[in-house]
Amino acid sequence: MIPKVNLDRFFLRIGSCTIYLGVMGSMSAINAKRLQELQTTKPKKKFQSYFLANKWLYIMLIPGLTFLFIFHYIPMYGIIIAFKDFNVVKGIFNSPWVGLENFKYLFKSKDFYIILRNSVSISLLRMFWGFPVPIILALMLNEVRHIHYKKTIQTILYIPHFISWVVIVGIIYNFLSPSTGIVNYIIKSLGGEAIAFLQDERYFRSILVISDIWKESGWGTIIYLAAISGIDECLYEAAIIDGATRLQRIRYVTIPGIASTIIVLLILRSGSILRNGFEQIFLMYSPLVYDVADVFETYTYRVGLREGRFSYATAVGMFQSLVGLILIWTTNRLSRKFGEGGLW
Amino acid sequence: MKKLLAMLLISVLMVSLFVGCSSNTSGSNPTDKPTQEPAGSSTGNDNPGDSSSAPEEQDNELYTFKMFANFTPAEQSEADKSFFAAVEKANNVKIELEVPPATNYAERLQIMMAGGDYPEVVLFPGERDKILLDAVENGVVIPINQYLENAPNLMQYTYNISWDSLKFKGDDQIYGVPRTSIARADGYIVRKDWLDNLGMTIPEGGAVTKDEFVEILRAFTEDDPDGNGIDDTYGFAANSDAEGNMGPILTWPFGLNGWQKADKGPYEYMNLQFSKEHDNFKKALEFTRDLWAKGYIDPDWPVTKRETAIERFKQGINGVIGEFSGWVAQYITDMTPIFPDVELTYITGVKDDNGKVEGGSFGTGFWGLWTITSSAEKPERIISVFDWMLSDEGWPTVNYGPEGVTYNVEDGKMVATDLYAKYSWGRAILRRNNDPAFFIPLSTSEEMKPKLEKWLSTCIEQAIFSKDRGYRPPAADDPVYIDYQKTMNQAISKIIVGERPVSDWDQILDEWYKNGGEAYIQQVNDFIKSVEGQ
Amino acid sequence: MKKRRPVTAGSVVFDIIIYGLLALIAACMLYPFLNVIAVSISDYSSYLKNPLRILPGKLDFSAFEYVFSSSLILSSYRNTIIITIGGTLISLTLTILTAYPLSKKHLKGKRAIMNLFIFSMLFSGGIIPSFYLIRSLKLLDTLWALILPGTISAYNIILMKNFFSSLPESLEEAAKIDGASDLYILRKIIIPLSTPIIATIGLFVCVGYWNSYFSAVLYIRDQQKWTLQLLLREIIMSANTQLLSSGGNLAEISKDAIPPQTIKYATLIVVVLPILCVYPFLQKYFVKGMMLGAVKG
Repeated sequence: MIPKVNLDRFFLRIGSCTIYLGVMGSMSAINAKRLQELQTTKPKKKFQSYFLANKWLYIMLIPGLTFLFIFHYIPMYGIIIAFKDFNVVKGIFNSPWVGLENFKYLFKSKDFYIILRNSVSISLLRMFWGFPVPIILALMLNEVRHIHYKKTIQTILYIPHFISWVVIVGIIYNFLSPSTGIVNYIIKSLGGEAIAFLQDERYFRSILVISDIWKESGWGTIIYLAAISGIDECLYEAAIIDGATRLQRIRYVTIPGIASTIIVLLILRSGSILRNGFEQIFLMYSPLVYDVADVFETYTYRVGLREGRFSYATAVGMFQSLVGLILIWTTNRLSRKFGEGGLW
Repeated sequence: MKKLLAMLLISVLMVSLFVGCSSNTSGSNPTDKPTQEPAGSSTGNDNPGDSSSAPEEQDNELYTFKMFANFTPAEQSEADKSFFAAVEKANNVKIELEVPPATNYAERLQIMMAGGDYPEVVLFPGERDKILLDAVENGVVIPINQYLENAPNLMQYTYNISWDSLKFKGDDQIYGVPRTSIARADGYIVRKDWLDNLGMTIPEGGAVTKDEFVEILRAFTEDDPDGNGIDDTYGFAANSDAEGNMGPILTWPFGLNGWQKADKGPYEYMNLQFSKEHDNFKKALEFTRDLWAKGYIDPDWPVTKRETAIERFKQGINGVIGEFSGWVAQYITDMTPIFPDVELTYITGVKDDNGKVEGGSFGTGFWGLWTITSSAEKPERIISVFDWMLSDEGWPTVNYGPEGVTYNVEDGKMVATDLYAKYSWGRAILRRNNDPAFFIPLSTSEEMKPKLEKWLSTCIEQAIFSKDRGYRPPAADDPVYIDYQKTMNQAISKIIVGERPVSDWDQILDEWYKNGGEAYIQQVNDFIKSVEGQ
Repeated sequence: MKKRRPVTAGSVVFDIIIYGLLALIAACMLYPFLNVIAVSISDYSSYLKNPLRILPGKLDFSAFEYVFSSSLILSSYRNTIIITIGGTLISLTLTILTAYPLSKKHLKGKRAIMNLFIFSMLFSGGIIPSFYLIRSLKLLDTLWALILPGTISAYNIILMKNFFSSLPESLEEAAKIDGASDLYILRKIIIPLSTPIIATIGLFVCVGYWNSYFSAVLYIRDQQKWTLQLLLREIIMSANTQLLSSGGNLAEISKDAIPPQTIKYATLIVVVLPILCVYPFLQKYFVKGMMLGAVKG
């Protein structure tokens, strides 16, 4: 008999904020010193001469900013749809204003808190369990010395990223099916009773998170591998001379070397705390698990886009972005405070 | 020079048009009804609407229009191309197709509407989409009543109820041409080889009682119908709907037929699912819940989408699946390589307590509609193209593709060519509502044909329309109402799988009434009364 | 290098654990791909018999024949290759140019610019204003519409900037004293030192373009300008699409509209195989020790 444990709860509890604090804390020691050395004295020139001295830097920024302005900021007026009762035929400017009506409705909706709770908890679960995996994989790959073995493994890990969710979800169904799935076949042959994993609120989020890790963590290692290859080889040599074991080298050279990348990705990740993506959840969920699986994306689809309420959908999206923005700003500030540099 | 060429071209077209007409009277047309006058080439035809028969009365300049449509597969085959060529030739029009990706048709529709550059003809997939209603409200989609007067074929081969559901503003204005789907109450495909193994039969006539239905499901689940000695089969291949919701597997036998006149209760018309005075829906829930608990329904049901349900039936996991009878042949083709002895039969329906089978709740009689936008300079020409498609001349082309391309006539019989299998776009434009032959492909075997005809006609005969005509009352747009739909769907699923008791339904219904349901029922009632009163 | 890393018993155990674990993980991750390949080269009934197979059943290549018989497959291949190469070059150039100044700690106005980028990462105007923009730029129905809107990604700029700022500043300062301009430093010092991150961001951008379909949905009318990924979605999502558009009317879900799994998987293979081959080529840029050589030389 398989004990029926509430896996999600368990995950959440263990996860808590230990990982957040742990990662940041362990890195600060070594990095702070290096950063200080690199800190240059601020040039105290007059604006004009400063600008002239750095003209190439500003010229380099022009193309990027032009593209940013044209393709991101010119269409930005579209966010006023959130404050209107948008009618496609009348257009954005001629649709009537409704003020904060859409937002009021969102906060009053009886589903809002369920959806907020689900979005945050799924997102946190993904962060706590999914975020470290690519780092660990990258560290492991870095220890492989047979270059062909390493390349082969790397390439294989990268494949699942390219397989569409529809296909992955189909495979998951077949694996976990209570009637024909291999997992339940094993459970049954061990004398257990078949478990309808995907129909069960207790397992759903775990499956969601695990399948996400399965699909994306190999892809996630790439950025860390790049960061590792940027580490100065001298540091390793020095460590070897000091008689550091391999684990110690990982601990004191490799991890500090990729710390800034980890921090940056963590900060960026915090911006998508309310975003879980549409496709995976939409393909996997059902009314039986709405209570744990309904997130902003699926909610927006059901009550916004499908019903033609574009304004409402825009308002919900804006709320998600706003929360993300605040979190990015906060974590960035925190990270700077702890001497980790942050995004800017 | 150019003018001369154009004149020449037009006259060639006209000649070929006449030739086309006369060749069609040769009697090879299987859909000719004795009651209908063949669309002859005689110029003395007093029917002014049939453009093909009276071209000289019409504006016969070449007319070009754009058509924004959703066809699958996305790629236009040679057969489809020649179909449109045939339509263009017969009507002296040029159709510029715009076929956006089907996966994102909604987004493209939205952008097209926002862009303000409307194609003359636009297909809307749903008759009550907000975007369509906005377009009607703002005059982008125009009423077509005056042109329908000259479209006798459209009028003849479309359900009256369909026209009703296109009167969006509550007056008599009709805002589109319905893409008719022949109304049916579909039954179930059943593994006949399994029945034979178990010594069971389906009664003559094809319909079974509820008890017989349950007995088949039971035997398929418990009595090892495939004889492999392993308990690995189930009865019913159920699936959730496109939104993932579950519902009772049998509704019609419990009198749940959409909106009908109510025999009791405060409302004149009622969908018994929402009635507090009737326990039909609870009975249907109870029935399904019971089958689920006993394991006669595929245990994967809650997460099984339609496609997977079909697959699981073909894999021999389940023995009964709700399906349109026209697809039986395809099932046999797919299953024969795995189960060489596979035989399928069809249950046309499950009888209600009075021994009667009736059902079907598609209130509109169509699936999507063609609208004409304000940018159309000659809406009458567009309507006449649609009308031609249902005329005696156009219909065989719509149904089977252009003669000589997708089929040839040999000894008075139509024989499919290789291209026939690739012909699909034309079949997704318009239908005659009374021609089940549409669903019998030319490639159907002689053995299968009579069975198919019988099943089809039974399913058509037993179909009744829900009286709401697809009407979506304003109450349905109320956010509170939309929110509560989720709670309700969730509850139905949970009742079926036994997580909540059936008795909870009363309370759910009470809540539903409070959360906009009452207004919903009232508004649907008002609508039905206004239409039925006419 | 090897002689400096003495082989001890502990080290061997360590190797065995890591090699073994990685092999196990790789096997898990390879599984879906093997399954997709096996199904795509089997006949439909073999798929039905065992949908989870990793060995092909009865060999049948008709799914591939079907995929390649489509006239759209070649044109969408061409389009995807064009936008991927063009987009990657443009985007990578822009990203490097933008990230370098932003990696300078002393740059004035940097914070405001970073805020602009972060904001653009989270908020967007939605599909309708973007459509108006592309239309007024007269880019509708051109491949430019699939390339240009995606060239600037705040995410990539931040990653690149982060790498640049981790490079030792002593190098630049030496060059500055010799009178080199910032552009020269970027070209001759920074870029050669940054091959790992350039390869990485290049891969991200390249894969992003390869997988893009939504721009094509919005801005392309001509099917001949569709991208591969859009074509793939049309085929593998068809069951969902059909179900929604038919409104549950079973007769209107036709067999042609939903291709069997074998065809879906074959299309998937055809679409992802080329991009899977990109990574092994880029791997040589991830070799360690590049920095060492650069600083010494």
